[in-house]
Amino acid sequence: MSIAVNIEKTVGDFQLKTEFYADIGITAIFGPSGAGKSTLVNLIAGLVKPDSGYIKILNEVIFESQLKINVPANKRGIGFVFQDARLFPHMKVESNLKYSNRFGRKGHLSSFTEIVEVLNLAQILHRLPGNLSGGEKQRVAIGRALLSNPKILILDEPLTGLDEGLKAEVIPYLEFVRDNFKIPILYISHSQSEVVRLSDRIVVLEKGRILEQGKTLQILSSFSVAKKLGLRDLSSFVEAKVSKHASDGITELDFAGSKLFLPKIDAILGSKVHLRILAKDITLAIEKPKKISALNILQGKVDEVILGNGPGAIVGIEVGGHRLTTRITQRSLNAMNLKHGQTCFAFLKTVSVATSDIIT
Amino acid sequence: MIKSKHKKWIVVLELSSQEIDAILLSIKVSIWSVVFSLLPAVYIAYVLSRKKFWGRQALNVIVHIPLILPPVVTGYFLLLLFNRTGIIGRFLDTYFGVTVAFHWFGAVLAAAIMSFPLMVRAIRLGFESVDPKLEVAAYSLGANKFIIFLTITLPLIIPALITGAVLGFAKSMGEFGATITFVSNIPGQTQTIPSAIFEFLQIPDNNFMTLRLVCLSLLISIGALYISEVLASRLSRREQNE
Repeated sequence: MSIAVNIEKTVGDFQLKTEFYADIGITAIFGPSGAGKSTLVNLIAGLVKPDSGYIKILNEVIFESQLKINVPANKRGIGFVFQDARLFPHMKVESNLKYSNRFGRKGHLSSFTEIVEVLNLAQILHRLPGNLSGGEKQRVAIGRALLSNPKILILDEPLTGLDEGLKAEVIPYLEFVRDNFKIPILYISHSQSEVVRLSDRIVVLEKGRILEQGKTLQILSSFSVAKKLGLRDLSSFVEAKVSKHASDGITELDFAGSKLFLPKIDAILGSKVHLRILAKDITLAIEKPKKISALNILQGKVDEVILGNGPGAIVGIEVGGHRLTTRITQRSLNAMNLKHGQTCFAFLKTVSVATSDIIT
Repeated sequence: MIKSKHKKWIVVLELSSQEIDAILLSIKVSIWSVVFSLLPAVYIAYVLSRKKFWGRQALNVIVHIPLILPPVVTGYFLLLLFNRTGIIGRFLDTYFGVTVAFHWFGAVLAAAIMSFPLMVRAIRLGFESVDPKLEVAAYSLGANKFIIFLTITLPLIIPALITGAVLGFAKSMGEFGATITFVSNIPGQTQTIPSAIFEFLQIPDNNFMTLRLVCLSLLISIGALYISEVLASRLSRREQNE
């Protein structure tokens, strides 16, 4: 199952022009507000008609402007989870879940009992949506969408509006859905941490155009994306594996053939965690420093140098197949005589990976 | 003239048969008025709140005309249309042998037309309080528009439907100007509570009878309002607690 989209739409002076492809797993549609994310999903869902182009789910054409094919939204087989859940307030959770089976698309992608079990809804089946927490509402909304026999699932900012605790409650369910239902999922979001945690691929939208698309960690670590989106702090996003919880309160992680040492994090041994490393927290050296308080020293090669307009410069370093981005002054750059392909050492203090940036 | 089941009332309140007829007729007229106008009111309210079409404002104005015209004028127009030589009256007379003018059913027609704008307004508020996003959600689950109306929209406007029906009933109970113009004030045939009160007021030293009818009319209206409030709060409690 896959979805291919190539559409154009002009609304007022806003023009959306996108072409992308999404396979099984989560593809993030990422971008600042006003980038056209909502317009894009409304076009895919069939709530708004594109000016031109096509949308295909697997081999079935659901929109084709030249052939005048425009399958109505209720026949497209696209499951939708909205930011505001949109549960039917006059129906109990059970009736909400069974709505599509009674009145809409019937099918057997998943059974009612299965959904109730995996989304842990048994306790709340007989409650009305008005009495549910934000996290419970989103779980019901996810279940309701999955029970509508979707060929693809669109999650439109499902965690926006939930506080951190509720987000943490819902995320494992999203991961479960991603890993157990073999359908493409489009995950609309403007949150870097959600996107890094949940998606394998990313489509970065800005002003109605696709800025970049590709593997999530790579794209989000790219300087050009960070600059264009005005992301608050230029960061590198990397994946590491928890290898040891040492007795002195340090957690050791395997990363790019060497080790990283972080203050204790709550993650099971062997599990993979995503780390966000701020560019300004990385220091560079030409030679391997000795007797230094920073624990994390990584050897890599300079693969990109970008001079800023001010006194700063951005240096991209390739470390064992991962990319770290760091920000130094042009004066340091000249003093160190850093060149493309040069071997260098990046070090970061243990404390410089803030706990809130550890996305487990 | 006086049926046996009315005797108890008479004993307690010493109502004359004229008063009893007026009360029963008023209730009958009001119920039929609500029954006939409810569905069209739902339709018009839906169209006005959800559809964008050419002439929407014009329709809105037409619906509201009975609210702003003097009731006598509305009654006069009805008379023009429905008396035996009027456009519609002649048609009804020729093909069905029915005359609405000066008939109790004419009172229903007058009451329905006068209460229609109030019902539309109340029900329209209901439609406007239903988030169209819920309908979009149901659409995304594969339901068609008619099913969505029946399963999502309609259940959510039930409180507004009750309010609209009670407003319509109360307005019909109190309708006077259009009714007396259109169907006159014939005791036992077209005399409703308001027209009976009007007649009693013409008779000197008849304060007692007038007051008694005024009190009864008050009781019926307050009773209807009370029942609607109980129904509406029961509904909203059901939605919140279960």
